Amino acid sequence: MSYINVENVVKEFKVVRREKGLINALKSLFHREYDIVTAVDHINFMIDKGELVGYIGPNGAGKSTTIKMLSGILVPTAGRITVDGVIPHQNRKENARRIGVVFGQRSSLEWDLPMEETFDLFQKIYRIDDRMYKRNVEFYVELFAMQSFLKRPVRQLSLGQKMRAEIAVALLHDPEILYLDEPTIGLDVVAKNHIRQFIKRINSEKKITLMLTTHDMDDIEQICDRIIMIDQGKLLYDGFLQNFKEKYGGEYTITVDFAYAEEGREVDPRLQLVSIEGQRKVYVAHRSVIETTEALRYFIDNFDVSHLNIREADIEDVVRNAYVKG
Amino acid sequence: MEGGPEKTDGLRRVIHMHYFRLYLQFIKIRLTSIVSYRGSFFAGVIAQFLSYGAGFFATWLLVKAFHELNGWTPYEVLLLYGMNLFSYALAAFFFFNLAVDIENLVISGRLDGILVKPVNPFLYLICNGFNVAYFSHISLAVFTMIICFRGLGISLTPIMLVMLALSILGAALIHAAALVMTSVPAIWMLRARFSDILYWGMREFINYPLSIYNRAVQVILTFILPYGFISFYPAQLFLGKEDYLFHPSLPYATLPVGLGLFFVAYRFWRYGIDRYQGTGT
Repeated sequence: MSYINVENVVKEFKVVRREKGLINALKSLFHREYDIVTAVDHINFMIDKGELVGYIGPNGAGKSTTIKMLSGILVPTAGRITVDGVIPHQNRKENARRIGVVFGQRSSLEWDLPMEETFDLFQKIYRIDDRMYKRNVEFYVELFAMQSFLKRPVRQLSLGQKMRAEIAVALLHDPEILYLDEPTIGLDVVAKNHIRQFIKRINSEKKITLMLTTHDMDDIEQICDRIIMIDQGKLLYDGFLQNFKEKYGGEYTITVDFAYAEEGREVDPRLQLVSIEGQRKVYVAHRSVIETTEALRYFIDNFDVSHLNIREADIEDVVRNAYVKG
Repeated sequence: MEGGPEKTDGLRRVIHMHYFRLYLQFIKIRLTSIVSYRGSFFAGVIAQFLSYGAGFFATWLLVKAFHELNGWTPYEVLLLYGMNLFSYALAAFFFFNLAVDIENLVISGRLDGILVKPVNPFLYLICNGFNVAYFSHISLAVFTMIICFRGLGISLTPIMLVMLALSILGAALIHAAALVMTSVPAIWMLRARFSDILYWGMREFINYPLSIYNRAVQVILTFILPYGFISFYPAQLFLGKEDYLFHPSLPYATLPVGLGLFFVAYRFWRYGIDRYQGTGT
């Protein structure tokens, strides 16, 4: 038995089928038709204590649904989940004492309350004893550099500050596990980097088991030791980041705007032409075949180029690749 | 999911202290926000006061015009209005946010945020839902009841005062049960305007003596939607009315009816949350 066990878990939602038109609307008053949507489809994985796992996939893959089942909000349609030997939804409150949850797209903070008083509120909610409370407030205010905005109401904080506050509050009761659902969504590059550093430190210093969902490839590369990838509710990959990168990563796209039509001229075969649009051509290449710097130099040295753009593979590309490669 | 047989009395007491502390904390928070939005708070109080004051006045004019309704004098009818308003305000003070805001909580995902906390969501929402706006209703209702008893020359004995308090408590529980029950479909994202209309519409009936309606309405308001126990039956007791309907013991039944209904409403709400966890949205 591992610390977190997910065995053959399925989650289906019943969605009311809505059809257009007045007559159909009237009909649905008396008789509703439902579609069954399978958000999570026979998923298996295990997580050990102290791991830092990235749970990734495109939008609508079933990531949040899984987090909600792990945290006891939703009941699986089939299968079995245990967290430290406890079934989350059956022992919701017991499970809740051991976990911290942050949903990146919604706030659990009181809008008009400064963080100072929000901490007080969470002390009362979680019944944290005074010594632990003092120690943790000090620790996290320091760690998340919150001193400068402790007295301002939450509604006046920047997105990055709010996210730090959310994470701090979720950690106040010393949870053993922290679930982060899209913790970097909507943040600028600097704020994203901060959050990533904090997440790594929480995991290494506090030994908290951490599972975060994201569809940001940089999050994955910079913080996760292990990757679990799902799409359309199905598990596509479960393994170390290094293997994941070797298997699916390394692909990039170069968009080249040629100064004038370069028809007839051969381009290095390691760069695969995928589309032409006037003088703009798009190539796909792989790092293991040709490095980005080499590819750039190649175009600059050999052609008259007015504009160049390189884009690293995003999660959608990676998922597409995973289907191709199996 | 809640509690369990292993829970001792001592532990229960600790749990109640927990919610009590939480409640005080939230009261502090709400009062702080009122200070930061003073203008809108007072505007709200005045608006509420005016709209309920208009209801008060309309009832008064109507009864004045008829001189009496089936043996009930204007002050007596106004007392029904006062009891109804008082008990409603008391219920809404604690339950309005839980009942009316639940749809928002589901849509915004704040309900999920509550379910990942080690708290009973019902008690948590009551703590969180402290609604100061109802001070205006309560003061208007108390004012109404005082002028009624004065106008009628009734001075309540201490025992009668206790009975009045218990009746109002029971009546508040009936209002609360109605608020809570009608909110359950919203947890499942089924907008149930029908149940709202049933509740808000029927509430108007009990501003007048139940005895003026025909038998069908009396049966409904006593046995099916027992709003009669909010004002009409207990008022009979304090006014010494003897136009008993069904059984002369009914004027004493408000508190038990309220407790029973509230218990059913609470179980139904828990069922609503369980089903939400089962099906999601």
